[in-house]
Amino acid sequence: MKNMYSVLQGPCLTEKANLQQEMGNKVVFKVHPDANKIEIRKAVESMFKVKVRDVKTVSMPGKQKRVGKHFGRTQDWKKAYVTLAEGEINFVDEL
Amino acid sequence: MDVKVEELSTLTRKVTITIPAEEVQGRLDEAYAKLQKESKMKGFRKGKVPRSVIVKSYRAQVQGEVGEKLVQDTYFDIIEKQDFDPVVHPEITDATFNDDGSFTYVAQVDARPVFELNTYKGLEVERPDNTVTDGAVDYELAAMRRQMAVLKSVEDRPVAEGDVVVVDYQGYHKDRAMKQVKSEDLSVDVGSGQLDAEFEKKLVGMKQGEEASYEVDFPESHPNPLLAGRKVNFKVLVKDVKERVLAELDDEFAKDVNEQFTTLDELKNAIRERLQKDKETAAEGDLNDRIMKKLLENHQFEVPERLVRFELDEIIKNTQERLEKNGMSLEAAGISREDLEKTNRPFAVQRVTGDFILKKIAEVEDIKVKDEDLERTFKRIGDQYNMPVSRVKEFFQNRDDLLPLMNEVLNEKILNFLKQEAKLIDPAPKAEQPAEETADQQDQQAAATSEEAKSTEE
Repeated sequence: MKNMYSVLQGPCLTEKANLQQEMGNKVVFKVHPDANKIEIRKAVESMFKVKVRDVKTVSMPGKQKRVGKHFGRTQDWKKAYVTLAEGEINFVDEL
Repeated sequence: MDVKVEELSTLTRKVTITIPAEEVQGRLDEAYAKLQKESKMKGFRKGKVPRSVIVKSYRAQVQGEVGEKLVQDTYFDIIEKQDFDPVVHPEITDATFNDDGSFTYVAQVDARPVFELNTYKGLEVERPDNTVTDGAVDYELAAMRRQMAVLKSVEDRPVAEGDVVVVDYQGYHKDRAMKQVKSEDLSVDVGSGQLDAEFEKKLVGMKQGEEASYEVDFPESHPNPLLAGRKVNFKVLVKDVKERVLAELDDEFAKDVNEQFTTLDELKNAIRERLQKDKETAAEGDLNDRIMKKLLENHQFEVPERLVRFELDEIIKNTQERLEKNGMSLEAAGISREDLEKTNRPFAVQRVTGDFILKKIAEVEDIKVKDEDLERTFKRIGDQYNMPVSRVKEFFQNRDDLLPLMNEVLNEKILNFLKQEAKLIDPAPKAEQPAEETADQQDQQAAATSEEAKSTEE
């Protein structure tokens, strides 16, 4: 199994993520593209000392970027919506 | 709004102010709303950052700002309603947002002492002695004579006091010559005590070309580490004995002093005039001191501790600066801050008390600093430093710089008023020319204000 700390790559702090958190106690993470839902669940539970009810993931394709005439792509990444059963995660205070 | 006043001491008040939740909440909302509108955060569109996120990230900052504003907006209104008059800015402590949304802060202030003016008119003050005696003039003349005396070598006479002796000396410690303890062709003014008095006494009676040796036991406490605690043998060679030939006190002498004098009497008069002027300046200051002393005796009341502290700090700062100018520090001079505070405390209290009394008198007598007073002061400073009045004004453009000057001028005016009102008791009656007096005062004032100018210059 991959290292727990390489599974979770950071919080996803966006308008949508914020809305999710306020509506349904869901937190959104940027995760390793190869991580599966089970790994994510374990990582979140052990790092934040909370209970996880559900994990949904979505693979986000990288965006096409252009510098002058050179085209390139940003990295593909994976986003995980983690529904919490117990406890909460406060990114502002934790980070 | 809930206001609680506690009396910590006669003059110190502790004011606890609680502002109700509704008012505080409104202020906070306003602040957050403003922040929200301008906020830019990654992951959010500009101005669309939710309130909850803003509150989480900026709570401390917003609370600090709002708290400060609340204090500023409420403090003066509240204090105005109290029955005391604060003298200094308050010390705000314990500004906290309570759980129920209200805001509490504690302000500690010193109240202006309430006192009645006692007699301040017709104070009986002894006029300081400003007579110049003939003795003082003669002393000055004698000093001049000595200074202008011609030195003439005498060969056939032993050294007497008042002679100038040229010597070589070499110090020996345990029969070994000390490199640093030697001198050649040193002129010693015998009897002046400039060098070691013992040493000078030894020289008396020696003749030209004579050699002598003597021992000195230096104490452990001697400042020079080379000498401290050592027995040093000095060998002294008298190279030359010179006698002071004093000039005759006559018109010739006066001319030598300065060509503008043609007779001795003129010189004497000039000296007398100078001494008189010095004395009068000193007497003027003396008179001020005496009036202040009388006032302090007549008025006794407690003064705010905070002002005394401020004054004390100022005194200590001045001392420090003076020492630093001479390349010293408080530690090096062996003065502890506590001692300095203890010794200077009475002066600080006196200054604060005196200031209160003077200001009160100014209020009662309606003495104010007018533009023309300032104008005159500027001109005086300008004359002293040889610069145009406009330059002087530039120095005092800043209000912070001007205020102390105005204070100074005001005090000067009040003191002048008191001096006019005071009854002077003459110890030795001597008519004073009023014209000269005012000239003197101006000198003094200029001296005082010029110090200000200097400090701003620096």
